[in-house]
Amino acid sequence: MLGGLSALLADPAALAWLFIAIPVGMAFGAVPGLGGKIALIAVMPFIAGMDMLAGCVFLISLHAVVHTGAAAPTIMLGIPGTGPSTAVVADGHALARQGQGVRALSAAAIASGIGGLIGTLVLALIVPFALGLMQLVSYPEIFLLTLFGIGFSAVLSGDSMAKGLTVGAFGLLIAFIGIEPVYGTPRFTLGSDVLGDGIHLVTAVLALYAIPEMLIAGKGSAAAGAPTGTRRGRGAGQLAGGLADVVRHRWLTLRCSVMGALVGIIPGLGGDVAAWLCYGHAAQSSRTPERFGKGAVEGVIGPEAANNSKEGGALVPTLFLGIPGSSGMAILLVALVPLGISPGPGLVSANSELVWAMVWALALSNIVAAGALILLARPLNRIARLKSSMLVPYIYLLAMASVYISTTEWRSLLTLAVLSLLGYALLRRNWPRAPFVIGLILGAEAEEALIKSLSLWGPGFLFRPVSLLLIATLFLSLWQLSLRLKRGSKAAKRGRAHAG
Amino acid sequence: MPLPSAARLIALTLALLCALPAVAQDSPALPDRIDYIIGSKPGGGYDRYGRLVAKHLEKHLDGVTVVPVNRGSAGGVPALRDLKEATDGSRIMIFNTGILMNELGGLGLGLQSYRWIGKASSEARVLLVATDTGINSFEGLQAEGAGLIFVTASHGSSAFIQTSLINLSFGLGLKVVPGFGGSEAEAALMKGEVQGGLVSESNVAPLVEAGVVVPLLVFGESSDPVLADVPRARSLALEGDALIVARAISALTQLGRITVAAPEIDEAALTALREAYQAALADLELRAEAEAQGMPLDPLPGPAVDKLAEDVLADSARLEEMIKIVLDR
Repeated sequence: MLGGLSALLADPAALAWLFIAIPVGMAFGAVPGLGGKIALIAVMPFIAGMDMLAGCVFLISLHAVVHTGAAAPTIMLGIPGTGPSTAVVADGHALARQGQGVRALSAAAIASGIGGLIGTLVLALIVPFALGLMQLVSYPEIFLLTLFGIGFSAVLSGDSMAKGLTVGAFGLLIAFIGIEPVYGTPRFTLGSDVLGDGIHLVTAVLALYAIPEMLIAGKGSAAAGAPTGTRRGRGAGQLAGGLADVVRHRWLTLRCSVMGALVGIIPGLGGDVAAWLCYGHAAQSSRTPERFGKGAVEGVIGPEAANNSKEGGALVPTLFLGIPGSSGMAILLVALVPLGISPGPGLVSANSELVWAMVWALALSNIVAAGALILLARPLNRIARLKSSMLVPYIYLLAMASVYISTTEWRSLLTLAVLSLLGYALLRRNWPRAPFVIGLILGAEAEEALIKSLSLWGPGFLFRPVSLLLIATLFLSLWQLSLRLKRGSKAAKRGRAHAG
Repeated sequence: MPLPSAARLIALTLALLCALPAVAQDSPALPDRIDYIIGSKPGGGYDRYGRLVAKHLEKHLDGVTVVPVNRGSAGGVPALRDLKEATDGSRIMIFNTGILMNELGGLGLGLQSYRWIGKASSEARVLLVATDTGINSFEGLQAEGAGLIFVTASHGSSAFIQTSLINLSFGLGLKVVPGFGGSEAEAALMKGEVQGGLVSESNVAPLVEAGVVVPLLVFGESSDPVLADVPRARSLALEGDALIVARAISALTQLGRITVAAPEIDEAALTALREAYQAALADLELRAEAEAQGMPLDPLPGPAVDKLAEDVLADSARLEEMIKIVLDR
């Protein structure tokens, strides 16, 4: 293990590539629509011929820090840099609008750094048990995990659970648009090829959050867009505030980091699911879930920790079993081949020092990227302090570019326009928007996992050991949730009675 | 008064744009810009080959800009349909050849009339079974395979059609379960959840080295040492449906990563594209880049691809009937 660290530190070229990879990776995260996959594709032609260690360190570091960079546009502009950062938009951007952008960025950076470190730790510790863990967790457990996530949407419903469940159900319905994943049947596509690919997450989140808020800001309303308490605390105070937030919510940071790493290990579940599951968990475990969507810092910390820890977890099947955990990891796998690496079960025994050097590079790059984001937080905050009306045209352009880059299909802009009307209506009527996105993401995952579970095990899939454990936990959580909601509604009634 | 810098930049851009037509007429048979459509999303094998070929094709087409464009929605079928309009050669396309199987199943694209520019590489398909089934030969699978779960990509995909055709024509009695895209089939095999599949040769070695699977039969040509002792489908004494299916899958795997142009493309444009494609694939720089990136090459010129495509799409009423049967199930 320490041999890997000394190999990394003793190789100036590898260290230099690590420091080159960090700004490049963060920049790919910060430009909406690009992200880790495109970053890897862009650098692949330059990898051939590089030294093995330097090349691996470069690729791992580049991919690891993308989500840290993505926090900047997500929080400051309300435009998610990558798919998983969509979970940070609601609360991160709300904090920026309240003049607490530096605090949000600082909390995001520290949570990302800790998430990355915990993900690395999981990667280092879990290798011997990776296959066993993967065997324990399969489609039935994925299905049950997604049910958990969908259940969380009730917590994110604000003042009315009925509204949250309605919006969540609508998100689920929208998730079914597209070519059905197993039997290839087109559903709700209206004969359009674009809808055949389903509704892209980045398009949906831009339509639900960025565009409606810009529509209102463009009309000159103070309801959204304009920073409301423009300068709450000086920059340095806010930086310390971000650190204090993470310390205060240390157990949430830890739980979400571990959840992210575990989701990363399971092939098929991507970073989007990890981030939104943790967003839901942050809300569900909060004493004041009604603050979510309005600037709750836990809504930044949870998904940010999961975004980065997921990368460490996803490296477990990718490097040690040769099975990529996500499409980004599939590209990483391909990019490693020209360097002379053959990912697979023999990798550790053949290249132990190299593997540990990669693990250390992952940890180091996460720390450096977190530091860089903290340093950049104050300059970036100038964007959030600009008058909203000045930003409106740029945000429209950036949102449209982001949709086009993500989908490479101009007709997706029509989808953006239609969903923006829905987002605008929800915002004006003060209906929750997060349940829609959760329904959209987890609905598709739940359906696919259910079909595969039934195909492989039949209805008996519910009796697998981990499934039984998850079912018990699910019922327990729902029971606990209903008690909390009952208490909340009694308290609200008492409050109204006092006011009356 | 000196121009402000933004105005100067705009003026310079406009001047450069105006000068473009003057320098872009060196390949008179072709337009100034060719979109090299990649019928898949960024990052996969087709994307990598498409981008590599596009980059070097431009070098061999004087004055023509070749721009790779991903159009992977609905498996690239709509992009392939739109390609018909590009009779001036302004669009060419690399696509998943599995679509040829769907064409036989009644897709109705009219692929027989498309014009082939050339092939960059091909990859054999390997039928394999989980080690813990105790089966170690194709004959063993025929005898004891009934009820085993073999997974494939979604229903209607090339992998689904091919696996189902093998199952049907060889009477294996497998349970073919669709919906396992990307690396999910390999993951399910590793975890012992399923018992087999038909996978690309590049994915076989890690599974064999891990002791997870036994390769039983190779469709197409392969030089992978892991598959050196594995029987080839063409070497089996086959007849009837099994022979038709083995031939079709082998021919399809040999077609591999092909580039196609519109059915009614101008002949001069087609000739220019075929020559440039062949020159690009012979380019030492492209070969070195492909080798460094672990991308094997197995180039074939357009007319030879024509012949292979004809073999796959040749009138075989029985093959079409079988494809329709497996798609209807």
